Amino acid sequence: MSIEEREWDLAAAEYVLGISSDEDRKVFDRLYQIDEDWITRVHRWESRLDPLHKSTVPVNPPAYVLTQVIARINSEKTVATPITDLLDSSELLLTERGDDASIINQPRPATQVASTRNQGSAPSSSSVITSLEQWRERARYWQLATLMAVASLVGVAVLGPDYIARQYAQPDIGKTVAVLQSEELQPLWTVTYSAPSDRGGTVSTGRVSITVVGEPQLTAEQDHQLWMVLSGEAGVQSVGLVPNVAGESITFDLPVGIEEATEFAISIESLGGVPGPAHGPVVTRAFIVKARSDI
Amino acid sequence: MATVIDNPQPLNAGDTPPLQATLERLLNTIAEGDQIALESLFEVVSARLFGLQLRILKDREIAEDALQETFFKIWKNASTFDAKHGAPMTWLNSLARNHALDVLRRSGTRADVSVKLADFNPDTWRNSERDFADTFEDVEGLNLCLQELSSDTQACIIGLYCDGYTQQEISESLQRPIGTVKSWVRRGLASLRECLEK
Repeated sequence: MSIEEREWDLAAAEYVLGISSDEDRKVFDRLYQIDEDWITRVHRWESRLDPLHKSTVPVNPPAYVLTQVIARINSEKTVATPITDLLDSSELLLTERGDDASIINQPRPATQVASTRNQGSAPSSSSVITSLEQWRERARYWQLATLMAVASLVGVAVLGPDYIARQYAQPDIGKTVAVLQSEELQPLWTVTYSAPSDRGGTVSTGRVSITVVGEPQLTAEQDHQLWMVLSGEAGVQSVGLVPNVAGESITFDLPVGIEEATEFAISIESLGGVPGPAHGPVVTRAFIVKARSDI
Repeated sequence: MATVIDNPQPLNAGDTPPLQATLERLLNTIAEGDQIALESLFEVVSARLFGLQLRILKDREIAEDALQETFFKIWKNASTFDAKHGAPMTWLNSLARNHALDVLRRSGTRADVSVKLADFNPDTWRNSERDFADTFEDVEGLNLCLQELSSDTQACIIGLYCDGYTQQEISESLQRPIGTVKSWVRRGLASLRECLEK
């Protein structure tokens, strides 16, 4: 095992033990969503250390814990609205299982993404894989840099290594839908992108609609704010405040063309939001995949 | 369609490969939306997971909430369990432990802050270990490798993993510099890996 391999492996061990720094843990959480090599390392250490739990004495919990779990499940069943019901099915093609597997190949997908093209065909997995590979490389670079305590990584992630829910959207298509999830994998918002051509070219930058499908958590003094993370080191661009009540929607004309951005992100801000570029903690993100125009 | 596992036994009835198969089957069935399977799983593993979370959180009420949340996560995420990545009990333990650690991080404090590092004594462990072992060899292997570590390092790793202590808490408890504790842990992990891979 090379020195670098050993470092990665020890980082995985520390992550499993729960002693990574907050900053590292957020990066590792993200890697855990997308990086098969990292996932394997983490599972290997979980398996190695798991026998330690044998020293813990089992304790019977009260029966009402199960009752509460079941009640919660039933309650969610009653109020849940299928995400697909909130979307125009003619505008999207749900990601097929085959694409899902080939695109992400992860045991614990945090995000389901639905997208379609104007022509009605599914996006080519090869284009998506290329983009995710790029993200993987970027995440690896980020992680390695973190491990080596390199501080100046501004260009890698403008919004900082908060929890992300990975999504992707294709700027070359007429409609794209992503589902933004919480850290607990609960869908919070759907994002629908409409290319400029859909609206007769009246707005050259395209438009996004955000619909609340979950229960975003906020205090009375906070708002959720949508951002575009711009390519390179161009920083972030505020798009606007997004609603937080299930069923509510808002549509924005994008402040810049989607091709200039790499991600959408939603942060928590004080009431009324902020002009940027400084921003609050990011609660979820959607990566924009640059689809090849010939696909 | 509900799938009921016949007479699910609590884990201390002997965690042998058939039980692993049972847990896998339960998780697969839960992934299909079967509440009865979730109830069966609760019957089989809840004492194990609750004990684990109570040990970390050291507060019964908080641990009950954590267990509820954990089973809700199991319900939502059962489909992501993949046997090729590890044993089902390992997956469940990790889910429960990670949630307990998240609760601690969010609260920023622990109900009982007194750090009591457990002694590593494989002789006293052995019986209970056998009860819960996914495979006896795994436990024996880890025991042997832990014995190669210094007692301080053993205590650190067990304290971090089983009790959810922070390195800072352990440092204060042992009255040793935090850097020393970190160094013990890092070297201990490297030794464990080397030993377990032999």
